[in-house]
Amino acid sequence: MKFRTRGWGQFAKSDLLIGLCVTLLSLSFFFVVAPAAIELPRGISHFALSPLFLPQVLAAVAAALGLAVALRGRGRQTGDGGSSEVAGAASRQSSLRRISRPATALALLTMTVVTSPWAGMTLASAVAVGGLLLLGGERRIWIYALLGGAVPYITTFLFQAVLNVPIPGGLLFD
Amino acid sequence: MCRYPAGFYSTDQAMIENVSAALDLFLHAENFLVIAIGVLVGLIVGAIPGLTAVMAVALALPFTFHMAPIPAILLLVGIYKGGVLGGSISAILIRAPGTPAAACTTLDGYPMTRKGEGRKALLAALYASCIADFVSNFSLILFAGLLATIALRFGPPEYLWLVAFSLTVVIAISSGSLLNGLIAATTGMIVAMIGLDLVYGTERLTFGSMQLMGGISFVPMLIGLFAIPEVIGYYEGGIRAGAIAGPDSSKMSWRELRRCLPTILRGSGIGVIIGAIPGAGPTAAAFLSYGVSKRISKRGDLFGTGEVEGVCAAEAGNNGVAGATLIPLLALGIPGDVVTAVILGAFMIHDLSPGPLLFRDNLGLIYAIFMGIMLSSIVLFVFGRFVMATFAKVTQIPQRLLMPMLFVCCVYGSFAVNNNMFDVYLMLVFGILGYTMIKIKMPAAPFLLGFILAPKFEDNLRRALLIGDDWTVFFRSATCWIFIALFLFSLCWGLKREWQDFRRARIDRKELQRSGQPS
Repeated sequence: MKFRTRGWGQFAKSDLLIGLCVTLLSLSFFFVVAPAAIELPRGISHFALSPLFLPQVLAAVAAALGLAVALRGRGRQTGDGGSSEVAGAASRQSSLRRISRPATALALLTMTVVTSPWAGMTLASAVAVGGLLLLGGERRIWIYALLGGAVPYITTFLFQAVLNVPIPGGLLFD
Repeated sequence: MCRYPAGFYSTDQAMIENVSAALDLFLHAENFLVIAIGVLVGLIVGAIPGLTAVMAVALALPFTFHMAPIPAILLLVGIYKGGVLGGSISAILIRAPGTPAAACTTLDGYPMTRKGEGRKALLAALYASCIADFVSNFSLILFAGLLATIALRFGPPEYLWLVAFSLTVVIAISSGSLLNGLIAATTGMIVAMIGLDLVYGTERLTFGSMQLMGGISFVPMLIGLFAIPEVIGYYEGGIRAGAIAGPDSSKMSWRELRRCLPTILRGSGIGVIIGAIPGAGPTAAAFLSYGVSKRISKRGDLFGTGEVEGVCAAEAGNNGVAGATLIPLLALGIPGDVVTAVILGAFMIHDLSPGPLLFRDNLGLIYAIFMGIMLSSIVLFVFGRFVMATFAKVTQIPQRLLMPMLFVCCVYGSFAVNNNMFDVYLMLVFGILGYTMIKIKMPAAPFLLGFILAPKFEDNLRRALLIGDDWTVFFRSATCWIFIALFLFSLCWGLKREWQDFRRARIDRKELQRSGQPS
């Protein structure tokens, strides 16, 4: 697998792709999603009063803009086409690391959000904090205890006792 | 022979009596205490991502039941003002705006923090906020009647053109990538359509979900769009052991403040006019002030890269609304937004009805409230300096410790809006969207602006069509034509600049190709 540095060609190609995606999504929204997901009442006196009017206008505008972005990307590509390519195990490894860390962080965030209703927001947050500290390279145990242990519980206390927000306690405490 | 017209002495006498009655009502330790507490609470609450000034004001309302009217109103006003400024703290330091209007402050505030000028950005926000707040209070006191008269001229067609004019700011805040900014704004407007239709009450894009019937909550969206990408992006960018920026001893010099003063005053004026119109909101004022300043200022090209004038413009517009938003409430009894609606509730709890009759029958009380509002600006400055100096230390916390804590605040804050896990899910979805937008170079600020302004645009479009028989209703008054002219001027000016930049870039590219250098 070859990895490219961010030359003009790469940027232009992404513009083309983004433009086409936006156009496709906008057209799908215009013709399929909006008519299906927007309820029309009876007896609309003016087409501009219809609940469908503005969403479809906006979808049409977005499609046109997407097309413009795609054409811009195409124009840059035919104009230059140059991109430098750097292949190698070292760059491949660093690219994988660059993707794996944010992916792990995102997985931790998702896990916290998904498990909060049954594990409790406090416990889920504590686990997420521990995981993020580990991902960030923290090694001091007392930091794990302080941030992973104390911060979620103090935050829960603040929200529940002071701000009167009923933080989900999970299956055990709800 | 009497030197003055008959009755003049009695008018003067009434004025003196009203002022002395006001002083009698205002000069109590309780009033000073509640202003101090309100501003401090507002600052701290506003600085925490997910907690807003609106939330703090609503939570404080029950505490005012047993208070006298003046301390009750002043407490709520103090919390509101503190909350507005507090929202800028998190916007500047950790890119987690406390309010939609503070998202505009993020555009230059956070880049300043990354450059090691976070303290300077906070001070700029403080000075701009306090000056704008002062101007706004003066406008409230001196021009309430006049501004209320102007506000009464605003019907749906006038509002529509005002919103359209505000939307042209998208061009200014999308510089470097106008098409991407417009796509982001359009997408934001479509997302705002989710929920029940404003006129017919039918479902739109809810896909059968009860949770979506109320629409997308803006606080979880705000947190997701701005703060979560920062958390994810930190883990992508190579782990940096250090803080967001190096030791920060930056200050705002007197010369810089003088340079930014025209921008601050301009933003204050924009904020006052927008704030006096019920429902217009501080977000439009903040972005309008930013967009106008970006075009007029000599350093406009530096906006978005960490320019102190950008922070001042956004904050001045935002805080210029604070005092002026009380104008329709006090003069006409019309609450312009959620906060003034809560304050109206406080008035009613104490058996008072804001409006012209309050001015006639209780002028001493009105003057006492004015005195308290003026004092709150001074308290805001004093406490703001202290709180900002404390919060500025956040930038010295190593990011590997700060990011997990930020994430916890985001989760709890999103939940606290409606006590609903669905908002936390929304925060995550918008977090992924925000991160994706950064990767494909699509700016988030236009998305937010589109999201905030779309309901106002559609609401006024349909109301105008319901009022009038045809499209001529949109051109019915001089106010409409003024905003049409502003809209067209702003649009043409913005597009012209973008076209010039585009041509310049194309010429540069061709020259590079001719010289054989890689572009």
